[in-house]
Amino acid sequence: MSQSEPPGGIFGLSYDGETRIFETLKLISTAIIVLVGAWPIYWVTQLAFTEYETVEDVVTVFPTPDIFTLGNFVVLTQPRMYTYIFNTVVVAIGTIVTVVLVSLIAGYGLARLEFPQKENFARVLLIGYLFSPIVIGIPLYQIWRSIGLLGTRIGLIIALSAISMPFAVWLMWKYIMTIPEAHEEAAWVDGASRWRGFRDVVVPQCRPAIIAAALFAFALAWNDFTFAQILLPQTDTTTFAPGILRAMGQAQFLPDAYLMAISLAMTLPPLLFAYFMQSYLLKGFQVRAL
Amino acid sequence: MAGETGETIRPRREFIPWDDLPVERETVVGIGTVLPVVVLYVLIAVLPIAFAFWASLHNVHTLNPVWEWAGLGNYREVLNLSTFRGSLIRGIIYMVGSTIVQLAVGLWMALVLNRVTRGQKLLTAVVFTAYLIPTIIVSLIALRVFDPQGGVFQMIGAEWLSLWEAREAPLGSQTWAMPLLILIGSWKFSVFITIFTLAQLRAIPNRFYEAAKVCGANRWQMFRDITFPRIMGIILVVVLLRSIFMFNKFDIIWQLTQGGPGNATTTLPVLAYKTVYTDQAYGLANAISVVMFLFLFVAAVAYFKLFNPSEEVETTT
Amino acid sequence: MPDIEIRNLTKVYEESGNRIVAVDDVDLTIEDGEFVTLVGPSGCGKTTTLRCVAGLNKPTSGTIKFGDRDVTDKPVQERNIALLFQDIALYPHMSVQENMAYGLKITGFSREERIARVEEAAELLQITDQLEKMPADLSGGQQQRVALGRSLVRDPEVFLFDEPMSDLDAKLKAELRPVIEKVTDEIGCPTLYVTHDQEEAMTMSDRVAVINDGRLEQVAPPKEVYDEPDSQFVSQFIGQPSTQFFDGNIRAVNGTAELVVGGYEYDLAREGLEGWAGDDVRVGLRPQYIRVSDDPDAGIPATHLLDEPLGDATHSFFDTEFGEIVVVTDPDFEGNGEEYGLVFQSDSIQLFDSESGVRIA
Repeated sequence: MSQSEPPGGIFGLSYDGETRIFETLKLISTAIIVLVGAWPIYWVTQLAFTEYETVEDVVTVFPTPDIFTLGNFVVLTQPRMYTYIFNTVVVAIGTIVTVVLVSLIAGYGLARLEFPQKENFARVLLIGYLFSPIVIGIPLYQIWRSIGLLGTRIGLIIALSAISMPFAVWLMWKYIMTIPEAHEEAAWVDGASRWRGFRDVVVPQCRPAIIAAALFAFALAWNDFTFAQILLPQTDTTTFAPGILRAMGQAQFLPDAYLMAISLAMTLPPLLFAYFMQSYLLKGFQVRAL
Repeated sequence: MAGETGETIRPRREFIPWDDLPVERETVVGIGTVLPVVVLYVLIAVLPIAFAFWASLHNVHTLNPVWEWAGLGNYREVLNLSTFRGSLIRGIIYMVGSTIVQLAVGLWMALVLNRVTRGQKLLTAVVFTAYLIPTIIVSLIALRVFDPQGGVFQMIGAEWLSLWEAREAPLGSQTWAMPLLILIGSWKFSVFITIFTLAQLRAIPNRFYEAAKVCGANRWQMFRDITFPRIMGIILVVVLLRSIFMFNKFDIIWQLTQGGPGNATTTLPVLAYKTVYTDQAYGLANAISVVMFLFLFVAAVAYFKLFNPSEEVETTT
Repeated sequence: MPDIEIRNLTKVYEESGNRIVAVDDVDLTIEDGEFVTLVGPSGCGKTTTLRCVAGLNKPTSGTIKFGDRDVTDKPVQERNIALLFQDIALYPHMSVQENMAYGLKITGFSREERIARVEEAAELLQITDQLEKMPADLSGGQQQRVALGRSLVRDPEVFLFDEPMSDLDAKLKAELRPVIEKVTDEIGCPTLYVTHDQEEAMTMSDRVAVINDGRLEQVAPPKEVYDEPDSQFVSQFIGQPSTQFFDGNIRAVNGTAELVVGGYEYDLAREGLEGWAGDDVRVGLRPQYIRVSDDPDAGIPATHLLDEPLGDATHSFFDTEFGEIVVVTDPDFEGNGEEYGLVFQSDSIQLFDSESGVRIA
């Protein structure tokens, strides 16, 4: 930095030196990210396969044969855990279906149809990012109770779908805009109605956006704790997140190794999605969906 | 669509008499397409906000819905509540601390990921996993590794670094609960910043950097003059969003500490929740909710000042 | 098969208070089996006209009839048209076969019939071996053939083209032109072809309709549009290199009218010029009809600027008092920046009203 002789790299290094340092830093950074990112998953996995008495007692780093066990997964057969997982799956699927349908149709309308207040609608749409489950959940508790949606999976699906909307609708809208309008017009010329053109020409081309929106909705539903905690108050009909927390609070046999086993089971679906569908995810996020 | 072909002399009678309506068909269909979204928003935002405001003017017991008019009494009570002031301050500490850590980590990860050439698929998968993994599982893992009985971080912190007593649970300590909450949350939520920044970084055409190299720019100058101006806008937006999200964060705090020890990690969302279920004061809790709405409203205004969505609306691609 | 009858077609866009007249009172009839090209510069309203005929845009006023059928208010689906888009618009998620059969599928043809028709069309277009491919795997020219096939199988009442070849290179264009003509002949319906490329217009059409600023300037067979343009715009737009223009004046001499350009007099011996005596006119002359004389005093004085040798001829640029002038010269002409005189072939001179641009003589 001291001199500005023949233009040089940062800190007066040569360009080559700069590149070497940069590459080294990049390598170290990558290593840290992978380590910190993957470590918890490794830890869950190794604890899930270690005998529960050992887990409670000492720190182990690998389930060597003498402490290895599959017995922790017996927790999955408990009827209560089974109910929690089943409810979570139902809510996730319900949310995905609702979000994809609603956002596809709304995105199409925003991209292709002219109607008054469209821009204001877009503004209001973004306010959805500010919906906070805890702030909305408290009043919603009484509202759902008075109209009979409290404690139902549908009530939870509605709440989760609503907070997925800003992302999903914005994504669909921007994505449909990248599909040339001429494709649809060609379908109309071929005699297809507006609906048929949407179904046959627009929807098949929206596949990446549909998958991205579905993944996002899945992550939201799979992740949700606050809404389920408030809107599914009955311990035996709730979803996984509040259910497991309440089960831990109650005096009963639930060692940490069991918790790790069930955590691993619940982590697997997102893990697989993250690996096999990342190209769709990236594509989804790159349509400047915000 | 299953009409007979051939017979098309008279157009099929439409179910809806479009021609007689005072507005264009396109307008009706267009509004129809966004109607489900509007219904969801009304159900999940407008109605609760109105309801919360109405309830906040009453004294209501959570399980016994007899509403007794209280006027602004709940608000007076909220502002005089010692726990409210403390929760607000702790909430702001939690929000600012989390946002700073997440911004630093998120930005760093985005810059690395943008330049990584090998193992990109695996690296991206790792990053996305953090985003997709349920908070409860992050919490369960954290509870396990900080457990005084056989927790690995507990051991490292107590025995190697002597940060706390061997038999002390760091998540139950006045000193360590808040910083640990911030760090654990950041493991998951930094990725949010990474994802949005990365998308923006990828959109910077390479020719800009090539042009800069031709001019003899070094890496720092390239970052300062090309990269940073391009990602500045998105950084502002994600910082704002993250601040709002962290201010409203309930799940991870409740799962890890339930606001404890004492009130050491009780932020406003936790306070509101406790007021409903521990104190059974539903009206008062709604008053807290409304106060939080006001914070959100201010944030929303700032949000639109910073990031004008109508610009986005007008761009066609 | 019917004809297309466009009457008083007007399309006005309202954009934030601004009224933009895209199409202004256009009248055009396309006979059954006739190939009419609508040609004009970009933004002249030609595509809007076509989209009104297709039913993709709604006209502000005027009527469109296919034979006896008034289709002005009919949606595009009920018009039974075929349309080739500028960006081809093949459905990217369907194979070539499915692309071509989609219209038939909607109309309700059986599977066997669809396959039979597609194969027949594919044979005519020489794309039989491409039927299983996806559009993304085809070259631009092949995609164009598929798009033609998509229209061909449906046997439309009216065939419309919206600058279908504007993204192709010159060689492919020349290769596809006969294919398009073959297909339109095969269907034998009225065809409206929109392009900004006057070469396409000249080579393929039965009649050319030149449009400018939303108004039709001239509708006539290609040769006539070239030789006898109705307006200065048509003369300038059609033909390559384009017509050169000079300022002139009409003078009455001994009862006949004479044209004066830059101090040179031309006795045009044409009817109807007397009334223009004393008026300024625009003088148009195709570059082929200007001769370059070595003697600067033999014609309008011109300084040679540069030559563009094309092989079979050379385009030479001169600086004159009327601005830059292009002349078609001999293939081996070399100007070397010297002074020349430009001599007009007087029987090829076109005269236009200097205000309105309308042809005088």
